[in-house]
Parts: sequence; C-alpha cells; structure tokens
Amino acid sequence: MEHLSDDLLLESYYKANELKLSPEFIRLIEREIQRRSLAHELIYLAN
Amino acid sequence: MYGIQELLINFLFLIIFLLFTPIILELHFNKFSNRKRLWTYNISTSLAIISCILFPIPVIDGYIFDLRLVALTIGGLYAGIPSILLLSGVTVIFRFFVGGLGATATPIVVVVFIVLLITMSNRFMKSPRNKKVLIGTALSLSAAIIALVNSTIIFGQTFSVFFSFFYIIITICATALLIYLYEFFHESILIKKQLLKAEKMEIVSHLASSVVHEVKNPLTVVKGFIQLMLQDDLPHSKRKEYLKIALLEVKRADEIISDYLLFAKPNSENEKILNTKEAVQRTLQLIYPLASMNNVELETKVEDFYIRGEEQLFQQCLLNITKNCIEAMPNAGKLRIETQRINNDLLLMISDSGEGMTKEQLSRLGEPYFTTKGRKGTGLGMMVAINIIKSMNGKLNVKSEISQGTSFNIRIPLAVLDSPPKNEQDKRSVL
Repeated sequence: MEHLSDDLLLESYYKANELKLSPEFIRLIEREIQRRSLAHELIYLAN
Repeated sequence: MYGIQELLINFLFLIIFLLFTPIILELHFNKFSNRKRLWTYNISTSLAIISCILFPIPVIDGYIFDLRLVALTIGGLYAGIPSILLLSGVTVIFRFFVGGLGATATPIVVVVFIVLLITMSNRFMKSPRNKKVLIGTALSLSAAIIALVNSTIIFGQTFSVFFSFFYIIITICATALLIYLYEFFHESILIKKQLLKAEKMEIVSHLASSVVHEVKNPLTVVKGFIQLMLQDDLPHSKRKEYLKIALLEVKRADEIISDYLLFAKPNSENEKILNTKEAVQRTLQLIYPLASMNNVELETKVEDFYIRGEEQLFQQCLLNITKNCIEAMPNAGKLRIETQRINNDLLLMISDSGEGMTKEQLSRLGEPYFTTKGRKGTGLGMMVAINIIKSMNGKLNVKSEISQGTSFNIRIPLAVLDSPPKNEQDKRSVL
C-alpha cells in the first residue's frame, strides 16, 4: 500500500467507504493515510 | 585391611570409564558418528577392565580379585554382542599377561559368563530402568559367584567368608549404582533434548498466530483493491496502479509464509559440500534488481571456500542478510561481501554503509518479529538467518554504528575435502 500515490490513496478511501468495503480494509487505508500525515487533507476534502 | 582400599580404587575406575565417558559421549551426541561412539565406548570399557586388573586386591599368591567382571557386565550389556566378545577377549588376554594362577582361571570364568551375557543382552536393552538395574546386578552377582566357585572348587583356593561376602556385596552395589546413575543421567539428557525440540515447536506455534495476522493484512488489501477495480468507470492507469499494489501485497504475504515455513521445517538432511563463491554469486544475481533500484553498489572479494551445509538454507541465509543490508541503504551505498580463511574456519563478511543500528536494536537482532524496517519488514528474516548459521555450526557476529553501517561476520567451519567436489572435476574434464 505504501507505493500507492497520495491522490489515489485518498480516492480509494472515499471509494471504499462509498462501496462499503470491509471495515478492515478501510482501517488499513486510514492507517496509511495517518502514516503519511495526510489526515488534514482528508478533512479538507471532506469539507 | 582385606583390600578395601583397592576395591574402592577399582570402583573409582569404573565410575570414570563406565559412567563419565558414556555420559560425555551422550552429551556430544551430534559430534560423533555411531561407529566412533561405539569404539570410544569399547576402548573406555577396555581401559576400565585393564585398570581393574592392574590394581587388584591381592588375596593369595598368584590369585587376584578385582571388579573387572563388573566392567565386563556393564560394558557388554550396553554395547551389544560384538562388544561382549571383544571385551571378553581383552579381559582374558590382559589377565594372561599379568600371569599367575588366575591367568588360567579367568578364561573359564569368562567363557561361562559370555553365555549368560549374550542370552541377557537383548532383553536388557529393551527393559526399563529398574529392570536394567536388576538384570545387570543379577548378572554381575552370578559372575562373582562363578569366579569364587571356580577358584575354590577347581583351583582349590580357600577364601575367608568375610572376603567372599565383601566381594559379592561390593560387586552388587557397584553394578546397581553404576547402571542406576547412568540411566538417570541418560534420561535427563534425553529430557533436555526433547525440551529443545519442544521449545522450537513452541516458537513455531507462537509464530503461527503472528504469521496469520501478518498475512491477513496483505490479503485484506488485495481483496479491497480487487473490489475497487470492479468499478466500471475506473481509468486504465488507476486500475494498473491497483494491480501493481495488489501484486506487491501478495508477494509480501508469500514472503512471510515462506520465511515461516523454512523456519518451521524440521531439520532436513540434504547436507553437502558448498562452494561459497558460487553461493555468493547466486545470491547476488537474486539481489541485483533490488540493489540497482536503491543505487547500491555491489563489491565482492570472494574466493573458493568449501563448507558443509544445505544449499537452499545457506542461500536463504545470505539472501536475508544481504536484503537487510540493501534495505538499510535506501539512498545509495555500498554492499561488500568478502571471504577470508581463519584457521579452519571460513569468515564471510557482509557489510553495508547504511543506517546502522543502535545498541538496543543490535541486542534485539534475531528476535522473532523484531524489525527496524517498520511495516516493510516481517522481522523473521534475521531470525531465520541466525538459525541457519547455527545449524551449520557457525557463529554470527554483528557490528553496527549509526549512520556508518553494519557488518555481519559469519564464521563457519570449513569442510574437510577428501577429493575436489564433483562439479569442479566435471569442469576440468570439459576443459
């Protein structure tokens, strides 16, 4: 997952939520987002 | 007084040659072949017999009493029928050289006794500890009685009742005690061996749950991405990126499982002579793509040294260490592999110019699931590598300095070569 580009990672996060994919998968994406300190982008985009 | 001192000295010889030697042999079980072990055991028992005869209890001129029959009983019972014959031969011949009246009495006693020993030897080996003590004691008691009867009836010697009684008692006690002690030590050594095996199995089962956990994450990611790829409107480039990640994650799961399987696998027996140079070159071929991706320069100074080991395992060990080295140098660096001979050992040095490790990290090196690589590492590679080096009777010494690099010094005993290895000969015949 660490090789995924930032943009696609965030996009995957939304898509995964939208498609109601498994919570573990969503949690793993969240963790990767946190690791890259992209959480603020998440909030920004969510707004 | 009645030769008590001599009898005790005899007893001491029996303890040294019949108790200590077999126990030491048992402790270093792996270092000796079966043949060597049998011969060492026979020689040790022979020494026990000879030293008993050399320090006898002088009773009447030309007649000597000692505990040689106890040595013959225990040595023969544990080593089997060929050894019984050999040890009997030793007894008769050596007693003959000492001379005197007993020299002619001994063959009679020994021949009668051999028959008893041989008939009981099979049953003895199959018996549990207490029965072994019983059989052994009964046999040496009968040997003592045969010896006494033989000398009084056939050779007309007279012994005091006290001496006969004392001789019989010490024979019984010595045999019972020696067999009991040997069985006791033997059992505890066996338990220790089983404990080692159990410990490994414990680690294996402990790892199993962690392996499952470690494998589950990549699988979740793969499943998630495949589900994402099912979207119809996904552009080709994104689909490709998902596929790439999915593939990487599958590879990661695969690595975790194969590392684990290699560790869990019981010691297999495909040992052979390995050429270090060939092994290093093969490793470099495998590791080259990773090295060039990280801009790592490879430098080798490796000569033809031969060691004994399993090809696949040694390969895996080198691969794990070099992979760690390269991963410690994400932005260029140098990986050096050198060999050197130190006495009868091969010194294989693998060093990097990478990040290095702190003292604390260094001390935890080789612990299962300890990794300095964060999520990228499984924490199994180094542990597997260390286990492989240990299995080859080798030692690993790691030196590391922060931001200077780490060097792995592997010391493995060189193989003794009877003839040049086969593939070398083949090459020559082709040339």
